[in-house]
Amino acid sequence: MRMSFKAKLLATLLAVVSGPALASDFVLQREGLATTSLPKVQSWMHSEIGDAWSQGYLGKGVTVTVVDDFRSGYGYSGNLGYGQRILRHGEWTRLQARMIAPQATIRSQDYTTGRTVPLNTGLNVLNLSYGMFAPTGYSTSQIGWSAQESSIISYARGGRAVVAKAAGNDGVAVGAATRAGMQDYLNSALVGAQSAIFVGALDRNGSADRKAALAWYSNYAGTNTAVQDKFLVVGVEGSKTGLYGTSFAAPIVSGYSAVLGSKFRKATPTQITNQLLSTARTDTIQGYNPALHGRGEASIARALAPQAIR
Amino acid sequence: MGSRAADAEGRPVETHLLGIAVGSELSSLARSLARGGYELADGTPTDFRDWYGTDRPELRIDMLTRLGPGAGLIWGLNTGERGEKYRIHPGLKLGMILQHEASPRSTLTLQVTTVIGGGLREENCIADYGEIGGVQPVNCRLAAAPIAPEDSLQHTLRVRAREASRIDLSYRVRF
Repeated sequence: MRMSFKAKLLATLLAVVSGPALASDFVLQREGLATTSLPKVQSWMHSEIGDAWSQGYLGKGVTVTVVDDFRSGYGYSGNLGYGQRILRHGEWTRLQARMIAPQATIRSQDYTTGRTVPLNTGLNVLNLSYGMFAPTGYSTSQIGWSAQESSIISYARGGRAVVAKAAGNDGVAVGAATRAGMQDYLNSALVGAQSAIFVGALDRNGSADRKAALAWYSNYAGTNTAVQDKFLVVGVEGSKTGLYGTSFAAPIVSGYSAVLGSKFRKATPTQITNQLLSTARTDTIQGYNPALHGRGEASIARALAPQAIR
Repeated sequence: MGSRAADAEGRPVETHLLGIAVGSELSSLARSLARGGYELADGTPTDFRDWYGTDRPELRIDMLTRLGPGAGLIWGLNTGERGEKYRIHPGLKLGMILQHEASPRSTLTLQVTTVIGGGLREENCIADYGEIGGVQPVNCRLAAAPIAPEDSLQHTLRVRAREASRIDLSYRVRF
């Protein structure tokens, strides 16, 4: 007899911190970033994005929806280049995506609403820097998703939006159980989805001369080739920003997706996804292994470039 | 250096070589385009020197034919220049120079010249973006930039030299 019930899912933010600050201890600050600010390459960004900004559109015509914490009383201290601040988790990931794709339309949805994520006209990118955890052992079909996650999973499977999903910070393969016996079922539900990208973290931005390694906390692709084919890594320069975790890897891929979408205005979410995956670099990673690093380190420069030119 | 012919009344007509120069303002512009490059999607490097370099820079020859006291015809030829993705068309330079002895020690000179032809025209590339963008024309220099390929075409250069038409008025005093 098949059991069908709603497993109690625990939404968990995927930042690595010793402990978020309580609002009672600190004053949660506003982002303070004017939307008309000119883009500036920050130390935590890959140098390629600066080259990509030298001329052209930067996410124009694309909508990035950040599904994250925008309501809680918990804040994280960090600095993305505009001074030390304490912001909610979603405010950080939203700010990151905005800094990578300054001309994209950025929307926010608190992850506790459970409501269907609306899509805008044009290309849509969803940033998910959280996981949905329950004890391991269930199949994804046994999970009773809210309208929010149902819509996200549907968009990814149907290729209606690029879904950048933080891989997780338990140092296990995507879809595997953590040491505590829990499993991120949102990860599991997105395996095989045509426009989903799992994003792991490198310890820094890599280059051919100075290769990066998988961050100590980052989940990795694992032996499932369906995950490997949809897994990217990016540098999370936590020593510069104070922000560690695959939570801060996914927004970079979300931003890259928006920049790509503003250049290739007729491209579908699946085409955008495939372009980032097919142009990822393996020569910038120490001991590259698809079971760890999937397709490799995302490269916006190569994703924007033609395959051939004459 | 000069040569002598005769006008209709038998007076000698002198033609002088004003100068021979290698390169031009537009030639320098083409050299500036040759700086840089980018990687293709698979990492293959492109070098703009392959597109905007040349072994035969433009040659300019300027001549002056004296028409009479204080008047001359300026004429000359720009040979043009070609690279894989640009061309500087040959040009014909025409003009007049008039001199007036305002005083025993001063001279007023008016020189008017124009160049017919001689503009720089950049050629577009054909880029293959694969599944995401297909094959389409694009500005060669901007093929890897985050600008839509169709929008990059408006940045393709069609340029005339700034000094294509020129008027010079000078007053010289000798002391």
